[in-house]
Amino acid sequence: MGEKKIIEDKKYENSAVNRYLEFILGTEKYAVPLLSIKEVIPLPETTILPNCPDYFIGIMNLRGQIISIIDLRKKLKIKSTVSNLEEAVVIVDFETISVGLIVDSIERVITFDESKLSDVPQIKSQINAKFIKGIFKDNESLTIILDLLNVLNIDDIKKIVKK
Amino acid sequence: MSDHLRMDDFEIELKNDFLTEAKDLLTQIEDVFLRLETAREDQNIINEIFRIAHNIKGASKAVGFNQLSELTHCAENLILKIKEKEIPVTDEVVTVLLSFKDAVNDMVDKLSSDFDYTANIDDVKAKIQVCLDGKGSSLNAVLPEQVQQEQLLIDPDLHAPVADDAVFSEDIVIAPPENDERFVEDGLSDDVGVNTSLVQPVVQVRESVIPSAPAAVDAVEVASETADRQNSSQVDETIRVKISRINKLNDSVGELAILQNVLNQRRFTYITDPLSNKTISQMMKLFKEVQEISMALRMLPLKQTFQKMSRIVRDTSKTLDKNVNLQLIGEDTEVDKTVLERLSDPLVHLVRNAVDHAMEDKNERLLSKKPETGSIILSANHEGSNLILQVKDDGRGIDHNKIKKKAIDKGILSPEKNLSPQELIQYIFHPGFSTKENVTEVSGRGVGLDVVKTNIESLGGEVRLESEIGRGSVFKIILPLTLAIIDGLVVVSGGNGFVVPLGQITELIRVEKGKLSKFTGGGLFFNLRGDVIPVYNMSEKFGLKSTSEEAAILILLKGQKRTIGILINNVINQQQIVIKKVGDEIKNYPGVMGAAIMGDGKPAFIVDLFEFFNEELMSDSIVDKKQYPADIAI
Repeated sequence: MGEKKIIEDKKYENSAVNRYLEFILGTEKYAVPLLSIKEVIPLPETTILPNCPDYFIGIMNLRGQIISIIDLRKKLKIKSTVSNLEEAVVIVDFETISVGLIVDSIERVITFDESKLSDVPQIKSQINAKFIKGIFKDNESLTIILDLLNVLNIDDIKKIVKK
Repeated sequence: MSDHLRMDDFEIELKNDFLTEAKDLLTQIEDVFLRLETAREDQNIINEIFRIAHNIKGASKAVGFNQLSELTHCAENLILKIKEKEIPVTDEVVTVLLSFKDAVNDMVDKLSSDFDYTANIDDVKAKIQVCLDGKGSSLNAVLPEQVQQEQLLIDPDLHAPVADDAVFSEDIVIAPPENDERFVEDGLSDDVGVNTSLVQPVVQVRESVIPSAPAAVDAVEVASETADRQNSSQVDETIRVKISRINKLNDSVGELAILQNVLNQRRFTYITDPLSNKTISQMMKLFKEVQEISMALRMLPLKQTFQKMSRIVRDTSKTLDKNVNLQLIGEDTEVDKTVLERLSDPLVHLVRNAVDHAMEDKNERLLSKKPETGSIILSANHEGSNLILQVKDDGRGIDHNKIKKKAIDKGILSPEKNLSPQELIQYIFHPGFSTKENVTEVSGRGVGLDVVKTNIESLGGEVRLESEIGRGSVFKIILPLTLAIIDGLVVVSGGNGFVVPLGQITELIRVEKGKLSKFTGGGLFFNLRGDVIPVYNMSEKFGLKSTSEEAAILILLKGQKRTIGILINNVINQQQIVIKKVGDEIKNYPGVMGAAIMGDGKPAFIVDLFEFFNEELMSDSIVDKKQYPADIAI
């Protein structure tokens, strides 16, 4: 009984105020829900798996677990800045699988009310509109909230791999 | 409200506990029933059956599975009569008892997913009644009165049979004061169904029971006998552990293996302190032990699977009216749980085949001067890191001429091909092949031995067959002991490390520069002791930059159709590889079995060469070469 209440509290909390991890891809700011993130690690050594889309970098060893690494910049077709030392891998738990996403650098954790999220405006963005869940407007900057479900269309990857 | 909820949870837990324990008991019972058939006079066996049935009855009633207790109660009556020697153990009785057991089994299974499941038990009950009606009066009418006069001393540390009110509870209420303890126990169980434990009650008869109550005496005797047995032979204590926990432990141990490898490599180089070096060496020894234990946790004895085979042989031979004796060897051989689960179907198939196809009928056996009773030997043993299973029959053997004719008819063998008898009989593993002319109800439903072969191969094993006309056949299944670890060869190709299952490799050959010939059209070939085999580049196939031919090594891969050579740069070492699962997104990638973590912490793909080079192995486009005769040694 008590447990149920806690879960409900949590849900309530989440629906009201969401926390997001903000990171940089190229020159733009993006963010994904903090709750979907398992951890952030420096760029690991990877083992390539050929005949895959270019954004599929390979697999890595995360403390004994094998995790596939996807270059989010390549996936979103964002021109990468010259490779820097701040590159990081964001490990997200996505449906039944864990995937590592390579980003240029990690910015901060942002917290805001979901209602403050503005619809996708007619802004000039480098990326596909269906990947965008909304825009968070800070004082001067804009952060694009990514729709991970659409970005990481796992079925797509599976199809490519099956061929 | 919340109290009520908790009560429900409690009840669910009790029911689940009961079901798990009932499953264990049912496994025991199967074996016992089958022994009954061969040793009909053995009183111990009947006592054992009675004990188990009695336990299930009591416990199922306590947790509210009334239908189950009703059925067991019914069967209990029959078993009592057998104990009394009022009913002889005939074939019919054994069959009825087995169908009772099946019904209980089925109910327990169904109840596991649905507590409210109700089965149609009338059929089985009727069958039992038929057996009962053969003799005397109804027993349960007499029982309660007799029990009243019993005086029992209950060991307070152990649980009494619960809510078994047909026999005990009702009587307890009017029992003399000595039974107070008992009363408390039962009182409890009536209210909340506390005790679902099937732990055998320790009951001692303090005052001898009136001789005119034989059934009651027996019931108590059974219990006290079991008590004696429990005291004398201390069985290993066991606990139930979730498989997920064991897997987690194995994962962590696998991780540790890598870490200790790193430490080991640094010993005496970076680490100079003698004590540290000594400690590392001791730790490694200890770790090896831990690793072995953690792997052994997933191992289970084959016993249960083997018992299922006894049943199948019994039923199949009855249906076909053949006399077959099944001998089981190595029931205690242990094997990984996953392997065990997936082993059952292929074994059923082979055993059934042996009875149905391989075994001659009685007349035919007598004509060929064989003992009337056919023999099937099912054996298991460990050989290195492999599990060897054999199904051996003394039946008619496989006629290679018939196989040849059929294979040619089916168009899977070209008539010109000159194969030895042992090579020919391997064709029965070919998809869609079935030698028996008439499809019977017992076996031969279109799916054949190819399914057995595929199943075993999917477990990383192989099936071999040897047969002699008139003498019998042997099916030999060779399986890895565990799926979590394989013997692998770490190889380098195009600058990348790969792991190749050692079992797939036929041979490794060092190729000197210029030993590979190039034909027009681009393909590489290698002259292997007079046979020309096509050669493929591992790294090229994998989409990496190609391997230079200098100082190259050729892996020989023997497929069903042909042998091919796979060119790699180098072999690093041979080691036990812990297979790591890869994500769903790439697990269907052809040829990828999983990944392994190398000594440097980097992952490497474990490549199933047969799947990876399937196209090359199967295609007809390459000049046909002389096949390598499958060497069969048993």
